[in-house]
Amino acid sequence: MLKKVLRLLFVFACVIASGVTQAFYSLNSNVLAVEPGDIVLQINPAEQTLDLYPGMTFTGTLKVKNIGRLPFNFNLLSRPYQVKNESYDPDFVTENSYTKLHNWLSFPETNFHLEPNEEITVLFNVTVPDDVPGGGQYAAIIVETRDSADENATVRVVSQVAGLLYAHVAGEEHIGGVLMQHSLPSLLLGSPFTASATVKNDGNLDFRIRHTLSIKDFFTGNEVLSPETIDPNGDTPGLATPVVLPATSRSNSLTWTGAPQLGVFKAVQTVSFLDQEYTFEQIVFICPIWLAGGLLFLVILMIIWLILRHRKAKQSRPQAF
Amino acid sequence: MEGKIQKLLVASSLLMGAAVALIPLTSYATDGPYPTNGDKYAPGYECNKQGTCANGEGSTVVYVNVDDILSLDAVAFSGTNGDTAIQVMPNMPREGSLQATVRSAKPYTISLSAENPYLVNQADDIYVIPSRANVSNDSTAWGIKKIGETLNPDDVYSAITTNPEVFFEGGPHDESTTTEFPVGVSVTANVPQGTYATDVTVTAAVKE
Repeated sequence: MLKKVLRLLFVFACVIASGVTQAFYSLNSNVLAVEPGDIVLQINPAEQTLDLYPGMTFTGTLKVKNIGRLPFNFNLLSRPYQVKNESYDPDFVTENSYTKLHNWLSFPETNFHLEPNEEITVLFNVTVPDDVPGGGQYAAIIVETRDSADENATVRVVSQVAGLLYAHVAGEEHIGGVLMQHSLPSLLLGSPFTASATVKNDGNLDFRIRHTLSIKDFFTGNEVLSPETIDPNGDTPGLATPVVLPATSRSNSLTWTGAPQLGVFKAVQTVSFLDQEYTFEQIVFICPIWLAGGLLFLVILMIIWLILRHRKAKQSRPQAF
Repeated sequence: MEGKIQKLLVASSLLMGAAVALIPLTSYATDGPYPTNGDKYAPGYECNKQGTCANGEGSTVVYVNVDDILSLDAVAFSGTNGDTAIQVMPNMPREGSLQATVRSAKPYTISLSAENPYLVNQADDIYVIPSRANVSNDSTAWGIKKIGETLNPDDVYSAITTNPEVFFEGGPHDESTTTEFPVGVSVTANVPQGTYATDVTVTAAVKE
């Protein structure tokens, strides 16, 4: 009997011990895993414009804050900044004559540590060579932390936040742009109400486009979309002011997401940049495709009916011999 | 025949009329105008590029400061069975996810890249799983899905490369916005068992 009790106790102790061990590994594993909100990196500002001249040395600042729950280490990197296509996907790898700025960047210190809620102002120096031509130069300061990488994960995440630098070097500056393409619809059969424009920068300095879309109800004259309109997300669907970098083309679209399924509207699109302004006006018919199909069916039916009626009238007319 | 067509014409007209009457014609009602960030103007308000807005001359001035901030919280999580690793069986593609939370006062992009775009066997680095768009039953591949109708209209995986590529574009928001990127892995029976992993760099940048 005693042996049985001892054996039961032994088995019970083993089960408890294994459970505790399992719980320990599970807990340990959870502690190691990085959770959302643990490592959160914030920079301010996200982009800066620098006015430089050849031979100058400039010292700038960037604030980095830990708004997560855990402390982390981070380091600074300088990268070229360019864009890949008309949609302006950022490119932090390609180098050309407008990305020399990253070679002029240096950091007095590159490795830092931040406790939760702690903010640090990091310094960067720009040493402009004496013989550089005037115009725009573009780079990114990358703030990187590897502490967000979970060692046990299939995908170990390295977090980077890019602070963009738009530098204007005094000298021979060429400023010029061309409106390459624009579109404003006239008939919409279910597709989104979108106005688009593509502008090419011919110069060596960046500039901004101001692209607006105003829409009025054709019959009442009520303005239903304007550059000042703000949607529930805080976006301005009737206004965009994108930057165009030198030697690139940029396309921009404004979409009226609240467009009704049926109506007639007067749309005005303006594209302005540098000293140029283009205005395009268009009467826009919005009609669902099923309604357009139905109207076509009715017209065909009407024509058949008229033909039949005409034939019948001709047959029933008194014949003269 | 003429009578039948006449009836059909009347019935179709009535049906179309009823359908048109049911179409909401006032769905375009929008909010605003309200003051907003940037050099945009609304009646009674004036805003500068720092997002400082004042309503009216001589009246009580209301200031709204919007910092030009950009924050990123990126974690790889949710593999399989609550683990951070994705458990894969031969010829059975599995999916995990990578989560990135961004807060930005301006439109922004999330780009993904990898110094080494192969999932590498942690015990023997000669065995790798390449990053490819074709994650399927009969392939050895891994990829991540781009998010958004424009970026990924066909809902397929994209290969991760050494150059950062845009996987998501977001608008400005006062609150943090979380984006979840599905991570797919598939292996064939030829791939040796083991733990495979790589580092993926998540880069957030504003897009002006």
